[in-house]
Amino acid sequence: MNGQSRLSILVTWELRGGSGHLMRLRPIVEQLARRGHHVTLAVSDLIRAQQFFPDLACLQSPQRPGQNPGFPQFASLGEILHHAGFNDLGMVKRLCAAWQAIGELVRPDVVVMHFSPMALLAFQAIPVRRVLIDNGYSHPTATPRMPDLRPWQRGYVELQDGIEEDILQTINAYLVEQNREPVAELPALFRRVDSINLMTLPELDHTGPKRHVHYRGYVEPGGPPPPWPESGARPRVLVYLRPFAGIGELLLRLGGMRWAILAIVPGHDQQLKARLAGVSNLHLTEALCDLHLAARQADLAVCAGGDTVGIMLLGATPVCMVPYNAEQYLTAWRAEKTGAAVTAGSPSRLPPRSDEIITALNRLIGNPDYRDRASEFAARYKDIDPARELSAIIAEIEGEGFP
Amino acid sequence: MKRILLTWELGSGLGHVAPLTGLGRQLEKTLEASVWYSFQSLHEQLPLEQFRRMLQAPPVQSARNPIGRPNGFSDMLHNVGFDSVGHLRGAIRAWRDIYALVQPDVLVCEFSPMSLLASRGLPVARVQIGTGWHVPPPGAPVPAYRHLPGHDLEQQRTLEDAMLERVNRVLTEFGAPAMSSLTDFFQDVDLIALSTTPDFDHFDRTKPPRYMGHSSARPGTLAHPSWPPGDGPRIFAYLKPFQGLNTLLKQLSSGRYRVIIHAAEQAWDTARHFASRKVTVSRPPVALDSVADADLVISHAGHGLIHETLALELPMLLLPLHREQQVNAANAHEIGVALVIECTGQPPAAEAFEAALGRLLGEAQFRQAARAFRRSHDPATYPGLTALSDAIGKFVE
Repeated sequence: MNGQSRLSILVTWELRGGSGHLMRLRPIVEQLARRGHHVTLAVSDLIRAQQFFPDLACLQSPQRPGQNPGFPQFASLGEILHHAGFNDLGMVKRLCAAWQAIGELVRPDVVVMHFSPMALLAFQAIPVRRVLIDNGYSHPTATPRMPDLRPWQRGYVELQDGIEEDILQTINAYLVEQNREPVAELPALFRRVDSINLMTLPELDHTGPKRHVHYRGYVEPGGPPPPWPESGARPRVLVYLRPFAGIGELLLRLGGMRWAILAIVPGHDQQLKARLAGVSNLHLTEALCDLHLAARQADLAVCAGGDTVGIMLLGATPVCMVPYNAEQYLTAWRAEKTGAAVTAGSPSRLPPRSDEIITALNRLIGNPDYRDRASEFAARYKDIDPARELSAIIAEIEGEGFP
Repeated sequence: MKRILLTWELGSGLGHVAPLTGLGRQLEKTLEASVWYSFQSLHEQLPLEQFRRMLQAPPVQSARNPIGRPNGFSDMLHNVGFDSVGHLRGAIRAWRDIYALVQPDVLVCEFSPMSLLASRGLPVARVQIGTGWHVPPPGAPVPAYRHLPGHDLEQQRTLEDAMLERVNRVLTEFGAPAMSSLTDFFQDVDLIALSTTPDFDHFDRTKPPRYMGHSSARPGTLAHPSWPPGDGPRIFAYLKPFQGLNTLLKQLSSGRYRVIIHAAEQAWDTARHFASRKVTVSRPPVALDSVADADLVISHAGHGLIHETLALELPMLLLPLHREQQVNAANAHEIGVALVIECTGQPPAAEAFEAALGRLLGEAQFRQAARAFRRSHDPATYPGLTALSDAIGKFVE
């Protein structure tokens, strides 16, 4: 690539927190930078992003001031938009203007958006290439109504219709003011882009399979090989969980089962370390390893329900899921339908108790069907190659005319 | 075209938004320069045209072990990210990323210590604006605020020594010159312009800075309510949520007064239930000329509203909610124009409001003091916004 073809690329992430979003974006952003593009980030967690991208400019994404009342437990993407300020035209205008101010400084050729609905609306008015990097939680189905994010509970359709109608009117008022065509329904806004890339697979898509998107599987963040404890012929269990009240008890009980356990618990305290010091068949660490390799080596996995579930199933490893929140429960709910995973606990009380996790784990161990279904899942996607998918995403971002 | 960047990092409310908005407009109107903003809050009262050049400021990183009742300027710095090398490093990098994008010729900082620190060593003219609270005088340790008891200079010195070591370490990492005392970066600027008057400065200063006076510039859409009909003294109240809000609202809605309330933030949810024939509650800010004939103004002792109330020659009941407002209130009390009810601890009793309202409305001394102060402190004798804009303009010529 020559210097002239270098692009200015703005990468946005607007809603929710946590490292998972940045882990998803990192290989893409690093690859873009390696290819000589000028990458600027505008993200909701600026300080954390600085750690992921030490050599790139990181800005704070425009934030809605104050609290929007209502809907603390989001039941639909419409409620998430409401909470983000989409119910208030004045707020929409201000936030969009602030996004456009970033655009004026960065002068992007391409805007790569991850869970960034306000940026998506703001950049409708600007002639740039628009690319989405999302998953099924942040990208709606191609139906008039926004998808249900809590399908296991009874909905309140009329209220949600009202919320979505308000948002639709607000968005259209803004689009018209910007001399853009209004949208007939809310999900249509999310299709006004050049490329939609979902970092998941159809069976594990939070809101069900979609036709108008590219499913890219899961990025390969790399990392060192998994540091399994000496296992002999014992089965290997990968545990990848954040600390929660019952994690010590859970790991002690797992240790008692005499498997070879690799427990990755980022942010665990010294107390947990001391408690598990005598358990020789368990290796506790904070450091993330190569999860794709770990998936191929493990006999089963215990994880929270994010992208790790998909990575494990692609490695033919059945999963016991320990969701901490409704989003993870939704992944778990989908994953169970593959027949290769079980979910601990219930959505009314998250995260589950350690005895609920052990019960779920025993279900998984006691029934070889789970392993068979996991093998079938892996076989279906045996041709999926994270490196090739990453290249395809880069090609979508760069558009035509790039080598 | 030259660029001016206005930053606002700490504090909340119209007290910051109003002067910054006014200054931004004045700069845009009078200078051949593009004016950019980086504010911590995309406040609803900011005019939309300013959002077109608005960057969300980096988040303030709260101290891991905050000082519970910050008493000195250094305590405040400790609580907003000066407590750790990691916080300083992140914040300075974040601000420098903004400077790299905006490439300002002039940086105008309003209560933005991290933004100011991050600019150290960069080729940009620096202007410090704000009230006295935001700009410490030189000295190590930083001198005590007026009227705030319990300032332990030795404790401050220990805190500042450790902070200075951290700050210098991070400045060196960024290739910026180190400092010999913590307040150097507040002094190493091209202009300090305090938007206050000496009586309402928060510090006693040996070397007076440039006092610009208070510039009133209420932004956004203003309400122009009429006084409720009937008899009784007229009271205007600007209220935020606080422990005694319900008690005060009950008092004000007793029927003895005619009341206009601007209920800010979440106070609206409470205050709107007290709207009646004799109590008007407004969500948008109220244009002060529509309450110029009030008999009393109740507020939380925001610096701007105190000045605007004095310009109307009105007495005040002041209900400070934090340290800065405590100093404002004490300054106003010192010149005899206000009574103060502390609202930072236990909720005030109804009797306290009753007694204060009775005195402020019944005794002539408060109004006389307000009138006397206004006549001896004509706002026109201070340079004001236009002069500040002109002074900033010199850096882009």
